[in-house]
Amino acid sequence: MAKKERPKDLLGSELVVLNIGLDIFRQALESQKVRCAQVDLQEAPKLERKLADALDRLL
Amino acid sequence: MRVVNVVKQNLFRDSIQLMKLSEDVKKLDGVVDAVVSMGTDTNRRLLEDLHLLGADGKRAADGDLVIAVSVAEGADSTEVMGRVEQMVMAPPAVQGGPRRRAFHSLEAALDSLGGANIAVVSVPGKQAFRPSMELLRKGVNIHLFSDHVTKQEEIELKRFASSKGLLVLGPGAGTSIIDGVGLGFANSVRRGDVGIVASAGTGIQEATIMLDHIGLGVSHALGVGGTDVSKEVGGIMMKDCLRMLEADEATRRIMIIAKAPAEAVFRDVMRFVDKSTTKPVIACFLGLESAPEYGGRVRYAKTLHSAVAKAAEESGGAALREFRSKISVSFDALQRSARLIAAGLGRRKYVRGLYSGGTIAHETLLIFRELMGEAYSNTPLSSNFALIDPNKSKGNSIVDLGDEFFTAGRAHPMIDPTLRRLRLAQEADDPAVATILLDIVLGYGSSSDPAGALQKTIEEGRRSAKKHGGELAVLAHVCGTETDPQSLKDQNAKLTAAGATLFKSNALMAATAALVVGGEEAATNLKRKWGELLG
Repeated sequence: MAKKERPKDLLGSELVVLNIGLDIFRQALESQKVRCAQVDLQEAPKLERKLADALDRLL
Repeated sequence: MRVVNVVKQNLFRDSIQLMKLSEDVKKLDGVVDAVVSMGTDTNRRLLEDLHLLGADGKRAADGDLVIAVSVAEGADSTEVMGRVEQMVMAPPAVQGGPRRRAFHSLEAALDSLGGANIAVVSVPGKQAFRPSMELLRKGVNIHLFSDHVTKQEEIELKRFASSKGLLVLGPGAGTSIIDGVGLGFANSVRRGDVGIVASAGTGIQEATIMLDHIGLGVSHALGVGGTDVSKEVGGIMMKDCLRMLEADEATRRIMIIAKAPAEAVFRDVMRFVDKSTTKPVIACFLGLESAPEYGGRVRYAKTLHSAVAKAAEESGGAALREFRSKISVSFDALQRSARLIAAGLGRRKYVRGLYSGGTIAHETLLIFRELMGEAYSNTPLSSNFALIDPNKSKGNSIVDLGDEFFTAGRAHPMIDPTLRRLRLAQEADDPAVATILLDIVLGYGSSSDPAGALQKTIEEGRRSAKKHGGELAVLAHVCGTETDPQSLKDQNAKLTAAGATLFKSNALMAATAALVVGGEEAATNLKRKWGELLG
């Protein structure tokens, strides 16, 4: 096994969250005023995904 | 009325989308009732119970989507089903009303935030490994809500994460609270100095709400998933979380909550506690028969109620007074309450627990074993007491409706009350049932009105029981706080109005139920074990 690195400071840091999957958990995070982004990995084919993400960045 | 089933082969929608679709379809003109669900065994049975299963639906497979509609008399079923199908086949973003911003790649999502330090992953278990590993490689911690991740994948994720100083909370991690932020199903609880590491989701919820009620708070509560303490996984994350809580300045004492782990893992974890931590520890290993002592720094608790009692004792002062006045009751008071309930039951004799929380269902099974003998369950303590068909109770039964048997292809009962509502009606209709136990779990992610969803069924069940002779006693425990998104006060009021008797902890509810149906023998046992279970 690789040598253990020093733990990152997750505890005590502001949480910034990716929510991958159920949207209720994104809603719960937003209601707690947590910075988060929703990821849906299976809705669109790859090319469409890239296009949608590019549009999201522009909008 | 005419029942129409349409089956869309190999079409997947997640359980929350399906629940919302079902509600939306029900609102359409010409629709009397409707369910849109995946074609799993549980869902087909549910459709049958609701009289919504047709010939096409019966043939559906797990991966097929079933649209089951009861069309109103005089309505044009072709036209109605056309509108329903259009709604179901629309892209999920359209179904959800105003478009929510969702990314389709991890990179784009991370870019939008300028990086993230944790990801909540709740995709189907078979799809969870890849994005989780990709994110770990980018230095992002994981809260893995998904079930059905293989042990091999869990070990790979956890070994990698551990080597990088990262956390993988889960798989099957229902709840975590980090710096006051609830991930998954979590209650809104006050901040404080108790750091929790748990391989038991509703165990975290039950302990944190009780701490909150008595004025104590939580620094962090880290849910590592039930299989972390299995022999194969070896408690990798439980030990890493203990290390993090030991180093964390906001944490002054530690609470460990788990179903009794494999013996070797238990010894390993407790050795770790002994050698690598210095803070006071309360260890609640549910079902543990005996435990080593570590110089008084580690105190063992047999129930979640008892774990919080020990935290109150350690704190002393206001917390102890609050525990005594708000949660604790005396043996005599509990026995009086049980006798009052038992007096109206007539010839009814069995208890049926319909739980949404797996850990507290397990706690009830353990309390029953201590007081009156083992109960049947779909998650039994020993195989002799396994329910052959989890859909049918037998004798005294405790059913965990959040177990995978019931949740395949449908939302967890904390989110969707439909399955529990039907089961409650079924149990209430059984003239041998004396007492029904319900846990109502509030918090982020849970149903917006779980008590309201069951209120009418409780009322009807109690009314109908009277016709068969004897009262049906409904006992309930609301696992929630005043600051939860659902108001604790309102939820309690709805249950009381329906005729349910409320309890401040699941352990108190379970002990009362045991006295109600277990009589003098249970009372003698409880008196003897009061300190262990409720002290």
